[in-house]
Amino acid sequence: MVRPSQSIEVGALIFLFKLHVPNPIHANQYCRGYCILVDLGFAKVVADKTYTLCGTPEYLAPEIIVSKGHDKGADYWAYGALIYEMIVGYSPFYSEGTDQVSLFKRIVQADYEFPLDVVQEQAKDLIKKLLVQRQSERLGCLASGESDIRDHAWFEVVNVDKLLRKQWPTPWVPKIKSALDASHFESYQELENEIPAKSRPLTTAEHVAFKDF
Amino acid sequence: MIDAMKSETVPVGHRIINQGETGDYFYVVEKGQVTFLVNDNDVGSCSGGGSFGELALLYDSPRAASCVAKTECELWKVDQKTFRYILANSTNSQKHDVHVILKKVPFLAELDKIDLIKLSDAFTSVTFPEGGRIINKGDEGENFYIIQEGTAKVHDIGFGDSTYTEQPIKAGDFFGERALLTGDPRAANVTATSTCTCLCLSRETFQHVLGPLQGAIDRAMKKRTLLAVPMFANSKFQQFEVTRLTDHFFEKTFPPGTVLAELGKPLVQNLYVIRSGKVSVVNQDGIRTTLKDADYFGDQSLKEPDGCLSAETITVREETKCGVLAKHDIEDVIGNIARLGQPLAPAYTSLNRSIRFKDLVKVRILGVGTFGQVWLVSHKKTEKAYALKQLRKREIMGHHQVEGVMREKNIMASLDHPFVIELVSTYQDEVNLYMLIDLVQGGELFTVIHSEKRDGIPNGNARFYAACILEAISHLHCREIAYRDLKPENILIDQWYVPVKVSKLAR
Repeated sequence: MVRPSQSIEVGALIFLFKLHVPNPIHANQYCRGYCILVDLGFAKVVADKTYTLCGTPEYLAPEIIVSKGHDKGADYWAYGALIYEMIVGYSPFYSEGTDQVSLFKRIVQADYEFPLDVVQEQAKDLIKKLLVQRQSERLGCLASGESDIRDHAWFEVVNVDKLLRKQWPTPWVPKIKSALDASHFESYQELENEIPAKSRPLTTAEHVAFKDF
Repeated sequence: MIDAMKSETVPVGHRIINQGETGDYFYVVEKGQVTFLVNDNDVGSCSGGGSFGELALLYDSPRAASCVAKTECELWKVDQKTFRYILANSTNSQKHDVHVILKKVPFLAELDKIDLIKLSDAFTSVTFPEGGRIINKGDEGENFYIIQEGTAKVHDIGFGDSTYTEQPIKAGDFFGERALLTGDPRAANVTATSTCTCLCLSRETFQHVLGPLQGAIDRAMKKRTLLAVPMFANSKFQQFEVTRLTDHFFEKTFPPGTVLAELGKPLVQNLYVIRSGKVSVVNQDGIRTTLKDADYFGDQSLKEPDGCLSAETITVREETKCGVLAKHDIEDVIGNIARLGQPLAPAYTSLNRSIRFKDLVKVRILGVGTFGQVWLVSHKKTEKAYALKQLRKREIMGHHQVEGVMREKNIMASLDHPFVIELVSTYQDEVNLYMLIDLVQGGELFTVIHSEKRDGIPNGNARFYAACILEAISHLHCREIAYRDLKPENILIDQWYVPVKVSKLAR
C-alpha cells in the first residue's frame, strides 16, 4: 500500500525529473562560474623556441624580456604572476608610478615581495616556485611538466576530474537577466552607431591571403 | 658575442650616455671608471669589469641615468640589434648548457645540483653525420647519450616480430640508459637524421653517480616501453596520464607453463610487454607464434568489452619477465577506454557551418581591439546569443598580421576544452573577417579581482580559478601551443542564460 504522501513525493520527483533531465544545465548549478580562456591572438605552436616580443608588460617572463627565446614555460611565469595578483590584489612587479624600464628590471631580477600576512603559505610556496628566473628551475618547466603544479600542496583539495566535469563548486556565479544581458561588459555605446572609416578595398591578390579563413 | 663588440676609448669627463635619450648601446668597462648621474646627482659608479646600459639591449627605452667617464676609459660596446640577433641565433646553434639539459632528463631532474654538475663534467661531446649510426642494435651498451643538437631516430626496436613505432628524437632527448644499467645488448638502432651532436657518459661514471637511482630510471624505461606500443603512441594522453599509466605498469615474472590466456575462455584483459623470456601463442587455426624480448601482446584485448573470450592460447615457455598493464587500471587513469589509440581530432571539424551569417543580428559591442570589435549577436531563428569578433582585413594587412590571424583561427578551431573558448564558425566579406564564438556572459576575471569594494580575492576562490586556468593552459601545452598572453583580462567567467521556454517545452 502506498501512502498518499509517498506518491506525492514520487510525483514531484517525476515532475522534477522531466523538467530537468532534458536540460542537464538546470540539474547542476555548479556548472556556471568556471573560467574560460579567451583571445588566442598570441597563441602559437612552439615546438622549439620563439623570439617574438609579445604579451602584456606586467606578465612578461624574464626570458621574453631578454629575448633569450621562450616557449610554453613563459606561460607558467605569467600564471604565477596571475595567482599573486588574484590573492594580493595587484601584480607582483607592479608599483605605482613606475616606468616600464624599472618594471622590466624587476622582472628580469625576479624582484618582488609578498605583503605581510596576506598570502597563505602553500600559495606563497607555489608562487615562489613559478616566479623563478630560470626556466630550467621553474615549476611547470621541469620533467613532470604541469603535473608538478597540479600536484602542488595548494591544489591538494581540488578534485581535477570533478573540476573538468564541472561538478566542483564554483566560488561565484555572475547574475544575468537574459540571453542578451551584457551588463558584465563595459559599454561601447558611442561606437555602435559609428560608420566604419572607408579604407582602400583589397585587391584580388590581397584577398587570396584570407582564402582559408 | 665578443666579436660583435666594438672597442672605444673615451676621455675624462666624456658623457657616454645622456639621461632621457633613447638607449642603443650596452657597455662593458675594460679599464677606467664611470660615474652614474641621475638629474646630475651622483648615484653610483663602476670600473673595470663592470657594465651599464643593459636595458638598451632589452627594449627601446629612455636612459634612466647619465654615465660620465671619471677617468679615461676603455669600453666595449654592442648595439641592441646585434645583441638580439646574436642571442636569437646563438640560442639555436650554441651548445646547450649541459646542466640545463640534464635537468630535463626525467630521472636526473631529481638529483641535486652538485651531483648534476659532477655528472655534467664527465660528459664528452661526439658529433655524428647525417645517417651516422649512434647505437648499433645488439652491441653491448657502454654510453648514455643526450642529444645536444640535431635529430636522430630510434628504429628496429626489439628482437621479435612485433612492430614498434619509429621514434624521432631531438635536442634534449636522451637514450641508451638501459644498456648502462643492465649491460644488456642494445635493443634498438639509433641513427642520426641530421648532423647530430651528442653528449655521452661512460658506464662507470654513470653507475658511480647514479647507482642508487635505479628505481627512477626504471620508471623512465617503463614509460618509453609503454609509449612505443603503437596503441599508446597514437593516443593523445596528457603528461600526467602517461605518468599514472606508467605507475600501473608493473613487472611480473611468470614461470614456464603459465597459461596467460586460453582459447574460448574469458580473458584477463592485460597488455604484456616481454622483458625477457619466451611465450607461445596458438590461435584458432592452430598456428603458433613465439614471442620474445620486447614483443608485446594483449593490446587488442584492451578495447574489447569486459569478459570477452580469448581468440588464442598463450603459454609461457621459459621463465618470462613481463611489464603488465591491466585494462581496469587504464580505465582508472584515462576514463574512457575508447581514447586508446585515438589521435587528436583533426582541426577544422568542429566548425558549425549551419549558422548563416545573415541570420545573425548585431546587438551591442562587447569589446574593442586593434583590428576591430567584438559584437554581441543574436541568431534570428534560435535566439541563441553569440559573440562575433569582427576584424578589418585592411588593418590586418597594414599590421602584417595575416599569418597571426590565420594562426589564431586554426588554433581555436583545433581546441576543445571546457575552459577554453569555442570557435563556432567563421565568415568573411570584402572588408572583414568574422569569428563567431561562444558567448560567455560573466565578464572578465579582472573585474572579479578588482572590484569597486576591494582588490584581491580569498585564497579558496583564487585556488579555484587557478586550477581551472592550469587545465586550460595544459590543454594548449600538450598540443605544443604556447598561450603567451595570460592575464586576468583574458579569462572570462562562465555564465549563460537558459531561456525559460526550454523548460516549458520539457514539460
